[in-house]
Amino acid sequence: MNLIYVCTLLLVSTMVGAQSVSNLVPKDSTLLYINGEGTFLRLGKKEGATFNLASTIQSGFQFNQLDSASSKTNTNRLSLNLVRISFTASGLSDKVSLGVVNDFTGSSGLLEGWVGISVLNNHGKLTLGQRQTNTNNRLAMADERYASVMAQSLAGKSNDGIVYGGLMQNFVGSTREGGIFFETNFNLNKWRIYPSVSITTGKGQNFFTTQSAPGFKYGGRIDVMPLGDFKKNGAFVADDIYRESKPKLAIGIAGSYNVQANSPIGSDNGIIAGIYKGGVATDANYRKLVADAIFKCNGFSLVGEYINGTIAGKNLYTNSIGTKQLTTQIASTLYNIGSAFNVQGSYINTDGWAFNVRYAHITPENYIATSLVHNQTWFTGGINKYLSGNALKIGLNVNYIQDNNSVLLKKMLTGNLAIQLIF
Amino acid sequence: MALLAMVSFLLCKSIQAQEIDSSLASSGNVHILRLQKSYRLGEGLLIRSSVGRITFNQSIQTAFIDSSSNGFSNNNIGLSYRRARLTMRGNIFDKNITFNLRVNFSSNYASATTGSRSFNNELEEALIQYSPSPTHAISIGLRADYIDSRETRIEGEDQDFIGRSAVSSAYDAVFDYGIRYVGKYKIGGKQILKPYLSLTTGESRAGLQKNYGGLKYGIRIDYYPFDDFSHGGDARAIDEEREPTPKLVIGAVCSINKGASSAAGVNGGRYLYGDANQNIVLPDYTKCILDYLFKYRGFYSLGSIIATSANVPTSITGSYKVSGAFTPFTGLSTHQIDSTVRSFLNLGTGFSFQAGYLFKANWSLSGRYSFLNNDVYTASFANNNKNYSVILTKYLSGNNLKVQAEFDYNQLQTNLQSTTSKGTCIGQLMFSVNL
Repeated sequence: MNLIYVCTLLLVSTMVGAQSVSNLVPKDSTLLYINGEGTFLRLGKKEGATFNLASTIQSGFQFNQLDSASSKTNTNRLSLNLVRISFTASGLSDKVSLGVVNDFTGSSGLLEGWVGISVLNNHGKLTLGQRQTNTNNRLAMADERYASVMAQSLAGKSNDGIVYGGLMQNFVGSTREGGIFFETNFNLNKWRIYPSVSITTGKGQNFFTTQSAPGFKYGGRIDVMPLGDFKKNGAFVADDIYRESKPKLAIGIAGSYNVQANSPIGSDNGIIAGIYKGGVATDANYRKLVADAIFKCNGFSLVGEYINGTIAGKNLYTNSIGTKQLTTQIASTLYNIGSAFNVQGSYINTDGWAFNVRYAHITPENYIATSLVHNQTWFTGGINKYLSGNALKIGLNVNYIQDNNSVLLKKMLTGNLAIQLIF
Repeated sequence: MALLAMVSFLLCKSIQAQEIDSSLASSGNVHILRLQKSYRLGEGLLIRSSVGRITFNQSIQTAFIDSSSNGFSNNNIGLSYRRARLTMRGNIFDKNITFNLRVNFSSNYASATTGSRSFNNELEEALIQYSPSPTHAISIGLRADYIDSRETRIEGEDQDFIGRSAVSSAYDAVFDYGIRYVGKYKIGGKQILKPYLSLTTGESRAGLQKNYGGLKYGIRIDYYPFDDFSHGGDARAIDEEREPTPKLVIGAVCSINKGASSAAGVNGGRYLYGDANQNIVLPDYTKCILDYLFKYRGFYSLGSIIATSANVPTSITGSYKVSGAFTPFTGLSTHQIDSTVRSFLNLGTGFSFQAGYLFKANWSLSGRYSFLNNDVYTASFANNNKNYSVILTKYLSGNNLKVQAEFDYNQLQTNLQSTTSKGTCIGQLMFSVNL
């Protein structure tokens, strides 16, 4: 239900492809390139090892028009939306796996680094490190390379929120977290069930530095696929790029409890200060509940996601002497609390042309002028062209974001043109 | 490191990989890969598919430097990695679409700007290129610019001197992100014309985070009167090919950066200005270059003349600090504001000339002279305005394995000289390997 799962599926699917080749010529190693998935090296007949090297470049142009106070401001940007080098490996009959993902768009180089150990006779996996966490909404668990809306992401984060939309922007922040993860999977009749739990820092992509607060984030997720598995990582990819020949459905529920979250979404470190309990500086606990579903069949894809973010904590004050209680109004200026839903659909034809639309709405739990979450409406429409499998993707999208709470009724129109190559 | 591990595994298992049945042609989205059987230093790890190839190159340059500004009474000594670059390039699934990705591990993520204007220095190239024919190519991405001086057209590993000249260092941004076109036209006889069109951010790698101001528009025209150089020799300084007939390229470059936010386009976002409404307003930065490269029988000569100028908007009323705070230019006249803005731009002229000879025993001896002439109102980039360099190189395997010893003297402008210091003497020793 995360990168491990995605990578495992990739590796398994690749090995299926490799095996079909290997069946013809039984050698003890294969060296393959798969369009859109990179280079695979498989060594050994028995407890063999598989290595995958995949690099990605995504270049983009963005046009942006901000309509505020009856004044329109136009800006544009040329930028590298995504530059990654990813190395994953598994060995000892998949008992051990590791992954390192470097991202060169941000100001820190290492995006992911993890080691996984297979347990429960290969029915479970224990992972330690920083990777995509399992407690976010479905499309925030897909690698940015698979996003149907192509736009800039810096070190796995989207400053303008365009890549993932309003849910990501208001309630997720960074998709990677450091911690310990456990996941398993099993059949229940013809259903496939994927449960997972995690204990993470709750400080976002800060596994390489010291965290400033003691609390951890505890979370879990379960995905149910009543019509069986999706192809590859298709349950977490918006477009039906692998074209499911039969109807496929996945329903997921996730929840997390971030103890003493010191950033607005619990995805950063040391942002919030000024909350006290018994005269001692502390932070509120941040809770997040997610429900989502995806349906795919013959190029059609429909995704629905819902997120609710709240805070918890008793006897919290905004001054050390305990006279000013942390009200929900004040909390809304410190934490992103409220709810949001996202609905998006797409169709990809056999020539690789994909058309997508997305609608999201964000509602604050409480709103005052300085609240972080505003009542917003997001619309997106786009076209993607997939070439050579998924190795080359060209995308065009238009996004309209209306801030209904802003005094100035702020509106933003953003267009992106991007080209992505995976090698 | 992960890539190095991958490369090691690939190398270790090369024999087995080569045993894969050649009759297995690639089909659909799966391509059988082969390792190149032979290897020569500098070729890197080369993997072929039925359609194209991908290469992995790693270079390392380690340098010792000893400098002194007072006749070696006090020395500054240092050991450093000058470059440690991993390059991936190829066209593994479509011969018309190539990619280029390069990371320099000797850099670090600390940038000249902070906060929202920070950027990383490790990434040097990330490029996707489409070539509809061998003589035309369109690319989008980050790479060394075509519209800088000719020195920047030569990879760092293939330069003759350990560092670029003072003129190139003063005026060239080197890396920039944008859309580019490269063409090649035969114009009669052996004459060739290569135009380069460029639309970039004008902010180098800092522009990857955020763009400030407008775009940078540039054009270069390269004229080859005696046909192309042998084996791409115009991309290397030393005449390794020992051209049997004279080869020459003359280039003319002009660019205008509409809204320059750094001294020479190296770290965009460093200097931001605002108008009365605190809207960002930036100066335009124009650069013109004439350059050439000549090679014949082991002799080469390379030279550039550069001139820059700026147009400062009169609407500027203040500047933004790196923290984001706006500071008005209180009490300054329009002329003073103009000169203040110019004092953060590299404005002036300069020329650089270098020449060398490669002996048949693979020793080379070269010299370089660079001169900088700054405008009255400009950043202080030309204190050492006369720069002399001599370098002796032993090529053990071309540019892929070489040892170099260089001596430089960077002379201070006359009005900056003192009784104890008239310039800086620098001695350098560098060892280069390109795998």
